[in-house]
Amino acid sequence: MGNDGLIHREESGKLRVIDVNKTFTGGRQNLAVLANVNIEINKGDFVCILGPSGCGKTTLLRCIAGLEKPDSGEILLGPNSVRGPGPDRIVVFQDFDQLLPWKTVKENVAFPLKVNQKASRDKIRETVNRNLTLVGLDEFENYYPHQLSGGMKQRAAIARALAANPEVLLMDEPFASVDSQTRTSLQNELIRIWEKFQPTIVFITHNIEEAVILGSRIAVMSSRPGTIRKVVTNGLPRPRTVITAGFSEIWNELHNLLVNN
Amino acid sequence: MKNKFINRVIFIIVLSVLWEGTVRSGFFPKAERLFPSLVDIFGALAEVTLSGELFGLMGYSLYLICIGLLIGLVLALVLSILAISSQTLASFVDTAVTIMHPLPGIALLPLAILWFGIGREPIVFIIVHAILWPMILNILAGFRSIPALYREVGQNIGLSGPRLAISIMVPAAFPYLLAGFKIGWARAWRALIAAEMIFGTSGTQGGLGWFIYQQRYFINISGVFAALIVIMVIGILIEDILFGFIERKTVKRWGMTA
Ligand SMILES: Nc1ncnc2c1ncn2[C@@H]1O[C@H](COP(=O)(O)OP(=O)(O)O)[C@@H](O)[C@H]1O
Ligand SMILES: [Mg+2]
Repeated sequence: MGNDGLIHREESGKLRVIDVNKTFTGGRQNLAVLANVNIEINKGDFVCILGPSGCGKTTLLRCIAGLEKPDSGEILLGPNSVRGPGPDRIVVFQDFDQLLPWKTVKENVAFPLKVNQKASRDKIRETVNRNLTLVGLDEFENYYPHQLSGGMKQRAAIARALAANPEVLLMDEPFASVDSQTRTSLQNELIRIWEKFQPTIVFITHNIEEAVILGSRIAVMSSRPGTIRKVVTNGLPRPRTVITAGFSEIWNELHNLLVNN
Repeated sequence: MKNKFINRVIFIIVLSVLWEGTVRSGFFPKAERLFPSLVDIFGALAEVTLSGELFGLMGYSLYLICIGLLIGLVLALVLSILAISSQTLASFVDTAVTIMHPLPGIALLPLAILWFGIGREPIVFIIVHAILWPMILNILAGFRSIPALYREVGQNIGLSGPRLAISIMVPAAFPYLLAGFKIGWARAWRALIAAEMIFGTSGTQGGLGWFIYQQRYFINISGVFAALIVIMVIGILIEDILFGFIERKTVKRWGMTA
């Protein structure tokens, strides 16, 4: 790539996954998980990655986060190659236990700001308050994580991720383990946050409905070893529900892509 | 908590009555020489308390144990953090623990005397030896129990190296650290009293262990028992009240248990 003699100015903030391969070598056999994954995500885009469970979605996200190293290929954020984890790409995990149990909700949200020492005390206070209000946890700021419900923990994790002010928000099925009512309100909050701050979001899900509700574009993955089969553009007007006109057409298209693997 | 306290009080009262009954029954001739009456024991206790001698003894013992615990804790943390940051250092620390852990502190006395002479230093040395190895074992078990997720959250927001260790690893392993510190305290307290009986005799200052030794020398058995009571009471106070308090403020509040 890039051998045509021209120097391209990378579009700023664009996330590019180029020919990424990943095989886990555990025990006696090797497991090919990602095979030539390619995808480009523009700054401010909300992309869902949809695929059957076990197809390598989490592995792909962890490669982008720098928590896992691809065997070959490259991941670029803007002009920079991803070499390891960093606060420009914050992950919201599926696991409720991602909050640090020895810190209150408030301290968890303030943690990325304190670590990176970019802000004054007042500024930290202000950002924490704003983010907690945004996810509706302002009354729980002094609670410890073990005192929160699963949905509240995920809200706090989102508030913490936003506090790091990342270029890309990487979300690995963060709402998969909450009840459906809570999931709907979390989805709505996430859209509001995205519309307000326009971070790039890569949102992983195995749930077609969730992908249609959330994504501006939806990348469908094949079963293992995962590749991107197709990227479907989703121009449905927001806010979306299952009865929004056009919902079922996109749902069917995605369903067919998943089934005809 | 309340119930536990009441049970203990009842138990102590029953024990005291049995003790006093045995002494006064005259069942064992000369019993008062070896098993003094509670009146004599508390008399001796009152005497050392009122003269202020007790506070000097306690202060000296607690001073030594605090120094020993501090040195032991810092060394244990440093060695454990080194052990988790490098495979080579891990096997080095592992070997050191395997060799040193089963070695009774008292067996090191001749060496301690040769190296430090007689005074505070050999006592602190024995205390550090008593607590260092079990604390390293606990801290390492704690570090190894940390879910990968916490470390990844730390790395994700930009932490690495020693900052990751201090901000994530140490608090995440805190239940184990506290358990290790409790074991360390109990072992240090025993090691201190034993070591004082041997080293505390030469200087002008001494602690509770030295006091016991001295009372035995003067065949003042009530004084020996008075010191034993003080040692037990301090042990109970630290274990129940101090560690109970720390647990309530930390692991219990955080919903973390080892
Ligand atoms: N660290 C690992 N070592 C070995 N195999 C792994 C590892 N992580 C994931 N896998 C395997 O890779 C496959 C894809 O996993 P994952 O990326 O978690 O899929 P998904 O998130 O799409 O469900 C699974 O079969 C899983 O067992
Ligand atoms: Mg997954």
